[in-house]
Amino acid sequence: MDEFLQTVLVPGLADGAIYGLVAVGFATLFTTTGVINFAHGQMVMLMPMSVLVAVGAGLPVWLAYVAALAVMVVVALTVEWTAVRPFVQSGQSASWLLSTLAVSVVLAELLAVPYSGESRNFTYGVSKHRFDLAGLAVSPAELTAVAALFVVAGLLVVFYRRTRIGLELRAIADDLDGAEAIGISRARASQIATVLSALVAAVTGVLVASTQLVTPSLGLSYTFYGFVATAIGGMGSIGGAVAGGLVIGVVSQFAGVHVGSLTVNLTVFLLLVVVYVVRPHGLFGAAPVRAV
Amino acid sequence: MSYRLSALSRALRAAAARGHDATPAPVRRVLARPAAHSAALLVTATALLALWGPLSYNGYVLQLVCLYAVATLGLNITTGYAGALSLGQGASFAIGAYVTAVLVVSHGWPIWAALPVAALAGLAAGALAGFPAGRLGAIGLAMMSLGLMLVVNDMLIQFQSVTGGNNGLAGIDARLWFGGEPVSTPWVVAIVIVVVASVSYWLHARYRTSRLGRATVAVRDEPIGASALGVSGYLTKVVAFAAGSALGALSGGLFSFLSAYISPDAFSSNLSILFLVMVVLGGSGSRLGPVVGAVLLVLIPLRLDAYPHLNNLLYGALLIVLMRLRPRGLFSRTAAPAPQALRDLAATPEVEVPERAPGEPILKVTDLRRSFGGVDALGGVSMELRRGEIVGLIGPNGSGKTTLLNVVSGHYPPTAGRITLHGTDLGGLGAAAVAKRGVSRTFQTPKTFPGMSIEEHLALPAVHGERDEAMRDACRRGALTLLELGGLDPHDPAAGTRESRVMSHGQLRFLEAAMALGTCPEVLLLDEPAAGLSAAEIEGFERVVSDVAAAGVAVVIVEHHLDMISRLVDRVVVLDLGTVLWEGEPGDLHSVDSVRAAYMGVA
Repeated sequence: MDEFLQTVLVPGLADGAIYGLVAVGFATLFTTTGVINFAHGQMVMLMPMSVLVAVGAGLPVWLAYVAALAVMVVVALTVEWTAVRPFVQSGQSASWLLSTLAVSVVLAELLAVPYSGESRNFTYGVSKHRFDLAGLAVSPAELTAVAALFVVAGLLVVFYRRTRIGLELRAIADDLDGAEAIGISRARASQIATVLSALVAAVTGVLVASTQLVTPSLGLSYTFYGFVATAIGGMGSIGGAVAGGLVIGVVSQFAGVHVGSLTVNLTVFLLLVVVYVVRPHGLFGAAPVRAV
Repeated sequence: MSYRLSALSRALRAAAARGHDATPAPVRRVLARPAAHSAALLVTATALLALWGPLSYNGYVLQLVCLYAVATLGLNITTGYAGALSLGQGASFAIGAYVTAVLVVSHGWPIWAALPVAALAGLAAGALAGFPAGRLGAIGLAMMSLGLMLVVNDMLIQFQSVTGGNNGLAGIDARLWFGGEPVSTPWVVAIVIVVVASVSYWLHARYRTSRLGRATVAVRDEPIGASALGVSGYLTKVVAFAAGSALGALSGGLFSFLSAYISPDAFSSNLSILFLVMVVLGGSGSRLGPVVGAVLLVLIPLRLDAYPHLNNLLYGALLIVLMRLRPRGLFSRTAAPAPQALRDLAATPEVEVPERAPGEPILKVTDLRRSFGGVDALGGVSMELRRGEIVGLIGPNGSGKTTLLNVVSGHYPPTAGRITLHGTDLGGLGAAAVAKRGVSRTFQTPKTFPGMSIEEHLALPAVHGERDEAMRDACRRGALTLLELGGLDPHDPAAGTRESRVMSHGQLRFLEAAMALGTCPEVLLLDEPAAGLSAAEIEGFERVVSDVAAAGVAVVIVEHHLDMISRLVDRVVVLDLGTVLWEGEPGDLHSVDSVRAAYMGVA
């Protein structure tokens, strides 16, 4: 049992928290714009890469973080303008799938430029040195990841329910034309949602880098894992994203330890198939009431 | 600049139209056939190959273009025809390449046996992936295929005893017989590649004009409208996935023979995206587009090979620009001809219209209920419809008229109650199944198929079950009259190429009604057919409805034009708050107080 806790549950929940954060990032953009950003995995990688490059250029670490956040916001606004805004709540998923996929190709290639795409160690995040906590070896990075998932998800839920801007974003999601008619700007809503999602990606990125090597090419895998978490939880549901991410983290860790590291993707893929066959709208998602 | 570009494109179009008009009609028909394109492709590629030689650099590039075109054509079936965005074509390509390589290297299979097996492997993989994916929207499909690609890349390394792991497999030579000596000439592989590309083009174009292909595109454009014509969506998606994946795997097999050595590096996720960009650039859903996309995206990157990163940046940037400026690609026309349907329609003889005389009851609705959440849209509706009868369904907005149509046509399952057609229960059947039993309908906003030609719209509906000759002819005659009313000339040569996306609302309404009559229904449900039509158009429409009813079609018409109702129908049913308020002859309608209060707003 202890063995299971140590080798599967602790690292599984930590990984799962990261997948959950990716899914929360998806949900943030999706609820307002109806767009899932295929470049979100690359956005996650962009944060630690920017910090690494900035530190490499001689900036102190705190300034490197500020610069990296600035890069995230600028890139997010560019992505929003090129690939998200034209398709806000358009219902034409093929268009935004392709446009955000295109952005992911460009970002992945740009990320491969600084260190020729090789993995780098990241030492400016949360410590990954494990200590003893009630008989289990855990690292501050792992604890932070799980805490960050709940804090970020909680903050977003409060934001959507309690603030005026959050309400406006939800209005855009429910009825674009109606919301525009009463003076809510589609462009601004889409920009806010994208930047929020990028900030979630920034937090995710630092946590990814704190628990493992920074590998730019892993962006697409994170997109996939985050999406499976979304599919399990239900599209656009923040609570569902949290649950879905944790489930995937533990299941994939179990497969990695007990079956083999090359079966991790396979396990997650099969999980996706099962979800689609059994509950196509996810655990917390609802089927649309009226179709015609 | 943009002015000059548009002038240029106008000039090109005009020149093309002149050339088109100057060509004699029989020649034109031959040139329009996919077989002609396919033959032209074969001749051109073979000639170039003879000129350059298969071992030259140009010869190699030509073969690369041809084999990539095969995968791209396959992806066009999945993504273009079925609208299912697949990020997994690279996975099919890898499966085909490895199946071929293992069969050839480890078992000494000949080229003619290895390639079909590779294609079959792709077919199986595509069907497996499509089976759960067929129920999903575009996002689910994209993610499934993305996952498949990640899994296939892992498996190539996992099963290294078979696949050679990271070292790959070498010595993939073409043989002519099992265990034979490898052939020494490069011409065998080159000719196979060119022939397979040409045949693939033909198959892919034929797929589009087949009944299945037409159904596939209809489901892509408007799944609800397709279901109302008896076309169900699930299978079209699964088959498109399987067929596309088979061509992808075939292409991978050709790649194995061309490069003679394969390793997992050759099958990165970028390959899938490359195929996708080829399809989108060429024109997703068009027939010639994928070939052009493959040519451009093999040739341009080869020029950029010297600069690292530039290639992938270029694909990405190209795709972004395309989605903003020309999302439908270079060849944006997806319509296909289907001349037989219009010819049949135009050849229908004039029919004698008999007196209208309602016959025996055929559709019976008993205590039908339907609720949405807590709201009872239908709270126990019972009514009967007789053969050849026209019933007008009226009532205030929100009274449940459209919901009643939606439940009867199978678009919503009833919460409780029975619907029977000729005594057989329709409750619980899906929309397509109900349509096949002879219930046809139109929608408040016409549901037509924007990417299909007028001819194809009319080829789509099929008659299921037995109908007598007179009724069949009356339906066809009615459909023809509707087309004429909508200003759609059945003899117009553009009917095979003009897409319904460019047509006006009124035309779409008539086209939709003509499609509904195309199934020669026993029961026809019309949802506000007169909305947005002029007085003359309404009058023509009434005549058609009256004529088909006289021939035996039972009609339910939901309408707010009370004078149209009083002229046309045999019986009026007034709905209010989900129940039947009143039922009777249209002449008595105005004298009933409860109807006046609920509907006309006067006491």
